[in-house]
Amino acid sequence: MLPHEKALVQRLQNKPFALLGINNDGTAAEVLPRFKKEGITWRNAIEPSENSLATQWNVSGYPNLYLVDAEGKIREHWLGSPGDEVLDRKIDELVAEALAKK
Amino acid sequence: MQSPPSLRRLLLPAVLLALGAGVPAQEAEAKRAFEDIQKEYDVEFRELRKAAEGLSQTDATALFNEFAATILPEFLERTAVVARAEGASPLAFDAWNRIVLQATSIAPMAEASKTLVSEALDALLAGHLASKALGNVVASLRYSTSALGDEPVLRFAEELGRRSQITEVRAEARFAHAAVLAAERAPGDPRVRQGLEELAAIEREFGELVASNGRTHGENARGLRFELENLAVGQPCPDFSAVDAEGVAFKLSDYRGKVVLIDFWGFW
Repeated sequence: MLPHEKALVQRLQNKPFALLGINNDGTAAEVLPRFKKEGITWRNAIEPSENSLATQWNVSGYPNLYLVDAEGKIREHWLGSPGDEVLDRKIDELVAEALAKK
Repeated sequence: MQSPPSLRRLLLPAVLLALGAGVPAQEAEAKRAFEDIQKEYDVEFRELRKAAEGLSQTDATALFNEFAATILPEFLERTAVVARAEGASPLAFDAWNRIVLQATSIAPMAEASKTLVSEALDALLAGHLASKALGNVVASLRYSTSALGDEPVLRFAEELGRRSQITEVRAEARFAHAAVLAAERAPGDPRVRQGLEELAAIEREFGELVASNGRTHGENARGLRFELENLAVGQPCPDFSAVDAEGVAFKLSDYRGKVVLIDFWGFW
């Protein structure tokens, strides 16, 4: 997923879009060097060890993706990546929708 | 590191002797037959994945479907021959379990595979009810409904949840039953309500018990209820607050006006 995510963030940097990672790999001090090394520039929530969002939302495998539109409505939910093409198409649709409403 | 040849010559017969000691010849033979089938299967499956590499998604799917329709049922039947002859031995458990896992790994399943899974589930209940590992069987079976359909999973989970003497196994089975009932149905479906009621009961009875996924059954039951009630496509996404890697606190609602891809992910 990572190479495609980098491309996605790059491609849509001036559009109404944000990629928001939710990461459970450790504390900020533990994961930050890894993010830097891998070129992960987008925002990532660092999950607490207790009562994590993944537990509250019943996330049991990675990646688990929710696509939320500009009005805050859930429009897609994927357990496992649906593939780069589908991901791009759905995001582009919602971005166009957001731009049209502005 | 390799041992010197002389040492290996000494060790090898000793190892073979130890393996063979106390194991009746027939059982050792069945074990070997089972392992041979599995090795052969692993090779076939590796070949399949290699062949699918680089193909378009449609072509890769077609290849996997052909495997599931033709080659897979043959392997399952050969494994079943070993399992049937083994009665209620640990080897029989492994063989029936393997049949369930392999058969449900690709959807859609061939009819022959479905029949064998039914036989395997019946055999596991009939001969292995005292096994603690049935908790893992039912926990993973819950995710096989797209291949197998709901009914066989519900039937197995219901009976296991009622008959197992092991608390952990009963809890896993009851959870699987509730999850299959409640999941992915139209809102008015009476099974959704029954599933949610069962989840509430699981929270009361097994709330503190640790489940096979490392969380407690209470956390799992609450999480699944939250997902079903608040995270369906079309609903407003629940807000959450978090702290990012730089230590900055933020909320999802800060992003109103933007399309957001929320990505639960991990390096491993």
